[in-house]
Amino acid sequence: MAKFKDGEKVKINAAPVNWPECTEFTLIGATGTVETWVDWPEVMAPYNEYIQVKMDKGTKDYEGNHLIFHDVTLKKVK
Amino acid sequence: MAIRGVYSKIEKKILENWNKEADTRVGWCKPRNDMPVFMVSDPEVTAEALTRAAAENDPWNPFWNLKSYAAATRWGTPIGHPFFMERFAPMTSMVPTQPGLFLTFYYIGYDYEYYQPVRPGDTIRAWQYRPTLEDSTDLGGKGPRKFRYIDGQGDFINQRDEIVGSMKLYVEVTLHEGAPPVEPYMQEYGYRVNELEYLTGLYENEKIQGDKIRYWDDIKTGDDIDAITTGPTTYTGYGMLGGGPPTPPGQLPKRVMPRYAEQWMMPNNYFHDRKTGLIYKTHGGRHFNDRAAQFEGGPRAWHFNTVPRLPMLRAVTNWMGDDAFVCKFGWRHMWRTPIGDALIINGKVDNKYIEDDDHLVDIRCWCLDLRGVITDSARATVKLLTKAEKYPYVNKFIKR
Repeated sequence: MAKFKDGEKVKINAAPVNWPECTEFTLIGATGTVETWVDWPEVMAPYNEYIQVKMDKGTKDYEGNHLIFHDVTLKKVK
Repeated sequence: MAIRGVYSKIEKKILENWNKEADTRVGWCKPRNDMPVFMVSDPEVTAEALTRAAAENDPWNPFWNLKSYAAATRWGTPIGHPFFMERFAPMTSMVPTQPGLFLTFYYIGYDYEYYQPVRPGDTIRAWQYRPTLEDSTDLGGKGPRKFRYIDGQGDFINQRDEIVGSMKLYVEVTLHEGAPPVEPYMQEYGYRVNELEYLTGLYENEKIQGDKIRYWDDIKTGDDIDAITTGPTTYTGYGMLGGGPPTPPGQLPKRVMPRYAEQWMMPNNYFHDRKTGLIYKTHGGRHFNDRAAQFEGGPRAWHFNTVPRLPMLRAVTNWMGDDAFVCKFGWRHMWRTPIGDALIINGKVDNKYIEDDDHLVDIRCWCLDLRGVITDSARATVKLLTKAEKYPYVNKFIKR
């Protein structure tokens, strides 16, 4: 069961799992809206820990882009 | 906006054409004539064919690449790399669209299953199933027409009529009235020195388990598998494979010029600038040319599927060692990763269990882009040896 639903507002709350120390994770704190990547439950169910987010206006370098994150790095925004 | 199950005249024509073509695809697969020669194999498998093919999938692990090394393992000969059977794979083709509806597609990924190794002396053929197309248009009538498309579905069968493996390819097809929405352009990724040093370190320290047996008994759920890397990629490397083989350097191109036709899907040869109407040449389209990629909605030219797929499997086979066997490998090509990016392939043991006396572990892998994005992911099931069984599987055979 995916932790986030289509249309939910989320914040990038943590660096990606196993993020290397060689570089800074610059997307921390950025916000966006969850958008289902592919609506095909039986094909995507084993992969539902990966969540596609359309980044909000003002996101540095990725405004309006669709990016994919592990669910554990995201937090719901009320 | 489209309504599920209700079709316009153009859509009816598209479905009629697709159905006619789908009927022709069922049956024994003929040798492919749409692939570069190096990607096609003789059905009679030899040790040389296996090692030659492995060199394109994983040129570093001696188990796949050296006949003498493989002969001194439990298998006694080289065996097929898990992607070897792709050489006999069923034909795939896109749903043919019609002028007026622009077709975009997500190449979602494959699921493979492997039931036994392919060995020298085997003869491999493939049986192709009819592709399937399911309307998945949003039920609220808010979106464009979408289809769930299963293509390239087949079984690989040996000379003893045993299915040695099977595969299935998933694609999501969207039909747009007019031009598709275009993802905002992304800048090329620029590296810092310490990032390059980190990636170089991953390359130089890549570990291969090799002949040291990895026992099922020693594995814990949650164990990490060693990270490896691929990239930074270039337009002239993996990226352009998607356009077929280029003319070799130093040779004149063949005296053939593809005829221009207005593009209503992925442009492989030409595309037009929608503002000026001028036409531009491309080779490999989405995987080679930023503007061709934007023509069909991508942020810029993106990785061909082998770029993440091969190292995700390599991370698994590096970890498992020579005595293990890949039973399943599934992969999802989630993000349109810009050419020039580097991927760090991570993996974790997700589960360990016994099924039909096989001691199995499930592994999940993911590609982490230095931009901070997950680009691709995979699920593998591997059969390992257990300390509880008598090994090696040999018998004394007296004939004197």
